[in-house]
Amino acid sequence: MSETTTTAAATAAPAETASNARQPILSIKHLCKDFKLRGDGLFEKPKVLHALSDVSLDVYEGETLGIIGESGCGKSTLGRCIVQLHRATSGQILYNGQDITGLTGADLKTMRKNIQMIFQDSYSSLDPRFTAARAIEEPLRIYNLVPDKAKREQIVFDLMKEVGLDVQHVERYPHEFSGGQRQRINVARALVLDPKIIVCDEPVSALDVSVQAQVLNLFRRLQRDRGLTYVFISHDLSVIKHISDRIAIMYLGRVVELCPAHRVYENPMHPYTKALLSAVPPESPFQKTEELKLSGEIASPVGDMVGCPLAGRCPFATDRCRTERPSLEEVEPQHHVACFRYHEIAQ
Amino acid sequence: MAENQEHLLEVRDLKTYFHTSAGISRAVDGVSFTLDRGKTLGIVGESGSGKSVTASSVIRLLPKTGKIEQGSITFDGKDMTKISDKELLSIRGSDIAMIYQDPMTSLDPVFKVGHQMVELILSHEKMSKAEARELAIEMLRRVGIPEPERRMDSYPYELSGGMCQRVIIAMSMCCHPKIIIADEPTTALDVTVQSQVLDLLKELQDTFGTSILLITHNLGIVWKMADDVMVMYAGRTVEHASTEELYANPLHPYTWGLLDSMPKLSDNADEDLKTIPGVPPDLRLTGTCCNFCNRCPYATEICEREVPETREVAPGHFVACHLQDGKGSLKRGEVRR
Repeated sequence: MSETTTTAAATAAPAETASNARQPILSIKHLCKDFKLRGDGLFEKPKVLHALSDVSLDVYEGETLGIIGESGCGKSTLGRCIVQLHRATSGQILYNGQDITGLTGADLKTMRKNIQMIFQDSYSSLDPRFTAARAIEEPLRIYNLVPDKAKREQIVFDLMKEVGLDVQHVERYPHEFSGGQRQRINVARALVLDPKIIVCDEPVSALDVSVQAQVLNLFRRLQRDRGLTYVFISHDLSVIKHISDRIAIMYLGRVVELCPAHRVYENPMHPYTKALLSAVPPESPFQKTEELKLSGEIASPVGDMVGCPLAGRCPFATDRCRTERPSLEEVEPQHHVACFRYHEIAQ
Repeated sequence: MAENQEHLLEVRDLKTYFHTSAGISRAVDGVSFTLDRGKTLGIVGESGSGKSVTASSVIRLLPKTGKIEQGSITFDGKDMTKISDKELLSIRGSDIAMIYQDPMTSLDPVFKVGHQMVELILSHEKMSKAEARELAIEMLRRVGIPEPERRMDSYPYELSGGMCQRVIIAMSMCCHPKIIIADEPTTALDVTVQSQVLDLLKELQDTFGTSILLITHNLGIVWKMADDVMVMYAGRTVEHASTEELYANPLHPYTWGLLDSMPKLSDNADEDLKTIPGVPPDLRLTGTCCNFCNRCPYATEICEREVPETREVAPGHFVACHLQDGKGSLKRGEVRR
């Protein structure tokens, strides 16, 4: 993305949701993340897997940015880069204007207090030997914020009530809880340091529908009460659409479309977004969607790539798509698309 | 013999219990359904509702602790609960095929795909090895695998999840089964691949006239694939109707809750989702009341005392609820308490 479109996005995006112009609380600029893979043979050169290439996104305070894509599109890598579990290969991540890529030691620890993460597997993200109370209390001990034991206990009790856990269960171990309850413990643990941003990596994917709805409602209530900012990663378009204010659609390490949540359903522009929408199972037995089908499967992110990442599967691809990479352009207010032919496809 | 030739599979009052050290778990507790030739029945429910155990009971693939306690399973005139193990072995894989959730673990990682397919064909059909190989290649081509001759010599780890699931579907179709039992066939796949695999299943069903028993937690897949749908909760059928009828006129409070708690693309996202409060009951303690009574906003005193019978409230529409007679005795959203 060019420098001019980045600034245009920064000024135009908050206009709808707030009257006074907001600064982005988190700004991702030209982020790239490569993984080196061992070569096939002994003297083979190592290969490079491009998990993220040139991703630029702004996240505003109090909003939910949804990130959607299929497996291997780099959505989880992006989440992990934001909390510095992965080190970015190049690019910047600005939190309140401060570059947090490459922070180490005490600086990193201070930063992490503000950006927390919740993972998909609620069981493996809890220590099986810690009780619920101990797990929620742990961050407070690490940061030594509340040295008084009784006060810490009170904080844990209050949080358990806030996320809808029974306070009688403080001394239970993770295996004694159901999946939904364990995810509530994870939410409580993420909240105990009072963070500004929570990165949620598929937090409801492992849950049953009725429990999923409970946890989604919990996320929304906490956002209303505490003014939290979410980066919400999921592969489920209906979940993302429900929880997000804006949605970024990713494919092979790039953002291909970025727009307000309702626009994704009303006016999808990128062929990949259209294909994703038509692949979602119908909402009623009477619904017959006009399907845009993609042939084949997601390409490999290993090795250098020229052209549009979707070119191999897209029914509209031209020679230009195969040789030149489309950049993410703002084609309507707040609606960004990376496609050369979006206006022709719309017709 | 089945009275009706149209009914390919008929399950009557099936009870499958697990005898564990912690007590008897009533995983399936009185389930009845029929599946006609060429039709698709969807079984929907959350985890622990007994949908997978129902399917495993049909082909008697239960773990050692599980036992079919009661009921009959009539498949093509044979009672599956009574036939010998040898007969069972010849039915599995040829007349009844199974597709599981995780395609990567359903194939043996140390054998080539082609080898596994040929082995399956040879164990059920009388033909030479070369003919079996030809058939396997033909089936791989049918399910849309590019370069099937070359793929015959691939190991499962060399294929993607979607490709593996296609191989398994090809394998299951090799012996022209009468029923495919598909247990969450697309849950591990991405949405665009999921829709490809579902379309493929439907296309093969139209060509070969196969019946499908489709087990899923996703109602959207049921709307797309199934003719009839059965909703299960804590081991029991709560509602059973044609897909259109269930969508247009759902009658059981649990079905209402399930429909409401799914986020929909066309919804206005400003409102919170309606949820079902609480969690499903412990399956060791069910069987004395309506299993849903502790989560049901409409529950009355009779719900806590008696197990509701499954009643036909409209032609082909079965509901197991004390309060619902199908004529408006219980209306969605009208909480009396």
